[in-house]
Amino acid sequence: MLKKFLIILFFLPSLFGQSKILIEMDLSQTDHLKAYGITYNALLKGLKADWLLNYKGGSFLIDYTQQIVNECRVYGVSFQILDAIQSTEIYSVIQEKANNMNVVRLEKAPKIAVYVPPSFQPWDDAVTMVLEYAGVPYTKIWNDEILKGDLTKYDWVHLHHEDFTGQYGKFYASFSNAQWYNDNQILYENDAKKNGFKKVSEMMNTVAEDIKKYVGNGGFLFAMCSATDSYDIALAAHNVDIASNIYDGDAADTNAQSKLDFDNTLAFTDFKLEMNPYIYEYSNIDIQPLEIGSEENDYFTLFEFSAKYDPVPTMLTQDHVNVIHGFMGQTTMFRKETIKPGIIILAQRDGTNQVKYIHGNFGRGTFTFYAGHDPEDYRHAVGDPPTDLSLYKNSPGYRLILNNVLFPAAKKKEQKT
Amino acid sequence: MLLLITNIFFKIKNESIAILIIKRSIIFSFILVFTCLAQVNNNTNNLFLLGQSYIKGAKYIEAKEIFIKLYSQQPENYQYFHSLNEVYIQLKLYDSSIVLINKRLQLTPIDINLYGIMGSTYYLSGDEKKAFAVWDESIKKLEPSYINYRVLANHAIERRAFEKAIEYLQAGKKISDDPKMFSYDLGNLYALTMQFENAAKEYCTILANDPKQLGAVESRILSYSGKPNALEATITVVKNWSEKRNINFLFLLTKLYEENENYDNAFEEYLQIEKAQNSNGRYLLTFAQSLLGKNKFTVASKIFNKIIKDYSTSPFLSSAKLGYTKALGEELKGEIIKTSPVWKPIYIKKNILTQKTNEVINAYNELINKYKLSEVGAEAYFRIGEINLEIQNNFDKAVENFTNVINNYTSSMLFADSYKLRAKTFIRKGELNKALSDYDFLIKDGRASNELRNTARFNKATILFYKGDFENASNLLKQISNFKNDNSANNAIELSLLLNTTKSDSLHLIKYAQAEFLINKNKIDSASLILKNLYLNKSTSFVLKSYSTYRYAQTQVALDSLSGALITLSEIIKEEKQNIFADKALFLKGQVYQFGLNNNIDALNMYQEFLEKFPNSIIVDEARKEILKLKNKNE
Repeated sequence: MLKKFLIILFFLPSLFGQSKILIEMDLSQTDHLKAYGITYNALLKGLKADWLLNYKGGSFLIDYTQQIVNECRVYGVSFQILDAIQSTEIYSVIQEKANNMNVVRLEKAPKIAVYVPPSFQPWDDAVTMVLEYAGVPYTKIWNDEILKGDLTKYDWVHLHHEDFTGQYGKFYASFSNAQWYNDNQILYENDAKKNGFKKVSEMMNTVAEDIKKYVGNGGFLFAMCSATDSYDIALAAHNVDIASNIYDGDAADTNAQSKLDFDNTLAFTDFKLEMNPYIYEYSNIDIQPLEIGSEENDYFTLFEFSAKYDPVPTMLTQDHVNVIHGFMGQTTMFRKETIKPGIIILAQRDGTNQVKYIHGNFGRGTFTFYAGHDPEDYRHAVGDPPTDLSLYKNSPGYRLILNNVLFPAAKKKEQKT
Repeated sequence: MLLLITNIFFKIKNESIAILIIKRSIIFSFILVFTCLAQVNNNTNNLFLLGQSYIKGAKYIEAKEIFIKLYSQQPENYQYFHSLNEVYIQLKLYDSSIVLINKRLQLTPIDINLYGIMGSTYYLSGDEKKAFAVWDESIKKLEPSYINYRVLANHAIERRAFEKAIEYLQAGKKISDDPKMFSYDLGNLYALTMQFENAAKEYCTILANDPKQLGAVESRILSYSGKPNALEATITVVKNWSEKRNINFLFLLTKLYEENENYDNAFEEYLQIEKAQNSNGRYLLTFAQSLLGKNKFTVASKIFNKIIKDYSTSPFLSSAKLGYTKALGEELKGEIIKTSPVWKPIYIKKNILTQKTNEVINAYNELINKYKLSEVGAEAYFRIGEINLEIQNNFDKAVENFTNVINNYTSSMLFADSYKLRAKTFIRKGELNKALSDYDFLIKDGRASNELRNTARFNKATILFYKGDFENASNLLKQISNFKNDNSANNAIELSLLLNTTKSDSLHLIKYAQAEFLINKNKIDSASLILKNLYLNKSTSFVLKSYSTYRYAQTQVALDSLSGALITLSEIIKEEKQNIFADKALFLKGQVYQFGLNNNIDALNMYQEFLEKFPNSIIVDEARKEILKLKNKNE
């Protein structure tokens, strides 16, 4: 009884005289993806929002305004209006020791940057698609912005399909005659020249190091698909040329493998490079299609964390289901043996060494790597049309991306462990 | 060997035996020498192949040992030189490569390729200045030749030093007998480096000197025309090209204008082509037909008309007339949709475009006169019938035209459709039995598609409903509902729902059916009166009253009695979930405010109220779309 009283006392200032909007995120939600947009935009408007970890799929509780209610209706997000007593009841349920739940106060809408080339790309970026669908504003940045130090302007940076090793995605064997490939190469080369680099690989290495500094200084990095492994490979190869002459004119170092500096990477270690320039693979970090087997059996499981003691991984794994259909990409899944100790595995294919989703800290910042290209298109090939997210409003795979978008908005608390 | 033979010779007394031995010995020694030499060559070849396989396997250190050995044995062998240099480059031993090339230059000092390779080595080592200096000096040293420039340009391209390559190709082009080949390469490089204006100039040079190159030039330009600013820059250059301009420039320009969707400018250029080529409208016709395929009816009809007027003796006249009529007809349909209040669930069809309609009919009549016995003639009759029915409300004429197709063009593609539209016309005329007979024919006709047969079944059921034969109507509707994938299935389910829920109030249902019949006949005011009575009549069953009230509100909207409609709709909305049309009524109220009264604020409120009250309605997405549209308008 005393405990309940204390809980009410704690939340009293925010409950007094005010109703709340509860956006439930369990299976009853009509549009999970847009719910994140509603919450993000509420934060932008200066409203307070609480993320109720593990409560009905990771629901949101937002200060009541008619505008938010109207937006929920317009965007088809189901919600409930709660009075102060109902809200208190929810808070007290969450604070029960027996319940693996927690409340995280979301304070400020993070400023989002997406690292994407200004030219046409024959593939789509799942993050920009879901940000646009959810109505979350973002800024596109490219090498120029990173090299002149603009990263400090943003709280959250996303990398998707870009190749940080200077090998143009290792598409040479299949697409060296394609117009988009040549345009892309010229774009990178011009960028390198303009920024005073002799080679694209050198520029990309500096870009990778700048991003690492950004994370070290407290930034949030989220990477998907081949930006994950190619980023870490570029960091490991900061002192050695791993690009073949077909990519940068001169030969790769024949002893490149032995010269890799694994101390410089964020997430991966002891991986073996794929030095053949004609093979569409960077290293053995990525799991091969043969190892995955049939699409029907490709599912990954989200780990459950203690919401009260490990709120960060709990936030990143909020979902209305915990077994999710897999999806391929240039980097489909990470080989467990190549993941550094200390990195938190958030999702993995049960009974295998195939890891889908990882999180780690570096300096004062954090990074999250999510393998695969498009959570709702199992094999998203080059040139395929973009996925229509209005057909996947409740996509659990896309939800994981949006967890990362809201995660930097959380008020920083001292870890209990 | 000879000493041995001489000794033997002196020892052997028999002269003939001695000669034989000498002969055999000579043959043997020749075989021995050749075998030894062949052995040496074989070993060298094997070594070379081994070196090559080391290169392929990226084992450059092992390859280096082999090629140093081979090259020292045969310094004049170009293959050994090339392989050794490749190994040096792979191992980034750039100094060794330079030494090697310098040695080779002493053997063949006029080999431009060696200077190219040396420049490349400097470039790879990161010394771009030295690389360019080596290449530039080699040009000065050797006699000026376009081949030398091309070789150096190739080396520069390989190193992706595109500006330098352009410089060499430009220089080569000046002294070449065949500048065309240089222009193609230059055009490519300019396009690659996004210097579209320069690329266009090169392609114009080619076209000016060799008009046969039009196809190649066109395909080269179109390969990059989608890049930002490429098309605009190219059009400007081609348009202003003044040197040796020929007809092909016009052809190229039309293609570029078409690509840029600037059809009026393309039309102007085609007129120039026609003038120059005297081709009786052939080029204009092709252009207009392509526009028809792109749904650009206005400009297409303008061009077809130009052919008809200016090329009256042209063999392409008939095609132009057919194209013109089709374009005109499509244009008319588009304009009618634009001028109709399509937001209203029911609206009175009025034709305010009489002149344009007559123009289209006249054009079709002309086609009939010319091609009466062909499919073109059948289509012309059918299209006129369609216009009579849907635009002019001239039902007698419509029946006449559809009957013409049915009686005289039995093998026409539009035969079954003529039956369908004739039946529709009979309903509008009030001749329900004749309509029934046409639908019966379609239901039995093997040539009609399944979809058409189901449409006929549904329409027949609707006629039975109008006639008050609810039992037979219901039975027929059941047959259609079995075809779940058919478009008529939904309509059939809706009508079945009405019949099943209201047939107990058959007296009022007959009146409701009469009202529906009148709406179909475009007699909306008479229908409105019947519906109003049903709505006000206390003895009308609850469900039928819901139907009648909502339909009455729709007729009020159709008759522009908007304030009355708002009251009726509010009555429905008040009943909330008890009235099955409450959600639709609230949405329609929003539409009345938005489009009828131009009151966007109240419209927005209605849509928001709709989302609040009916979040699970099937038209919820439409309300969302309208809210977003209105919000964007306000912003």
